[in-house]
Amino acid sequence: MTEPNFKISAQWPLHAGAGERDVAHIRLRAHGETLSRLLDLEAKEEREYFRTSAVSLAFWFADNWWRLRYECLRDGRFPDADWRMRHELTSVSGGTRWPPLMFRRLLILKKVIRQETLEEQLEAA
Amino acid sequence: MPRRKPPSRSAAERSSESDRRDLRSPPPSNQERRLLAAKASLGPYSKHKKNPTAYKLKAYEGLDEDRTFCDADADFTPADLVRAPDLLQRGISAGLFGHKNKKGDPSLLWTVDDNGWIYEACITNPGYGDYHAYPVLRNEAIARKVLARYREYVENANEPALEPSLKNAEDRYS
Repeated sequence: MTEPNFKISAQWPLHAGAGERDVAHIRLRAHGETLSRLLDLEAKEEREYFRTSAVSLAFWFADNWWRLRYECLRDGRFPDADWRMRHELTSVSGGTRWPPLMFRRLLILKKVIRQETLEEQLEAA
Repeated sequence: MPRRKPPSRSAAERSSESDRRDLRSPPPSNQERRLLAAKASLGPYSKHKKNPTAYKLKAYEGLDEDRTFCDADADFTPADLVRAPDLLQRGISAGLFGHKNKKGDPSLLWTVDDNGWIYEACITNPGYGDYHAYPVLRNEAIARKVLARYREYVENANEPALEPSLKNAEDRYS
């Protein structure tokens, strides 16, 4: 079985008490690549997860799933702030570091003899 | 046996973590700004201090998140705390209110420092206007929206002292 194109893994502390079940170690992967790899300068280590509120992330995906899945960038123009706030992970919440990831629909135009077809896929770039 | 329509599920109010970050639109009235300015205050919070003891705060004991820091990220030192009330008033005067309220207070506010750093203030004590703040990082989209409104405010305020903050912020978040 192949790995799904996009995967979110969240790991919570084993013995998290009440009120300690929000922050998780979150890892994002797409097409077999880790998108959340970072260098923790303080701990002097490289890790593949970031530590933040899994609840906030879940709400953000729930609030924006349609736009993430179906909304593309028109004409390749640089997106405005409103668009970025619905498509960039750094907009989830303030006061926490989020990976600088943008999710958008990718349109691929293919000429097939006399007709054009659109293929779509979710790109995590 | 006839089926009965089940009772409607009560919609639970979402937690604060789900608050979408955005500016209030249209901007708050002058009266709203005056009312908030009269009661709002900004207090330091150890969660967003790399070295909380330097601010005479206890060490942060909350969950181990990848937090942003006023001191380590924005070089906002304990000596800068005396400027905090003026910075908060600046953000309120500029109408940089978040679009959601908690007990009558905006749950989020923003302000722009002279050195160009934007700070996001989050309500600590709803209803009393107590806030704590943390820096907005360069890659956060909300910075563009805050700057657009702040630019309009500065251009109409006729206060030359505000101009460096606008110029420096536009450089920092470009």
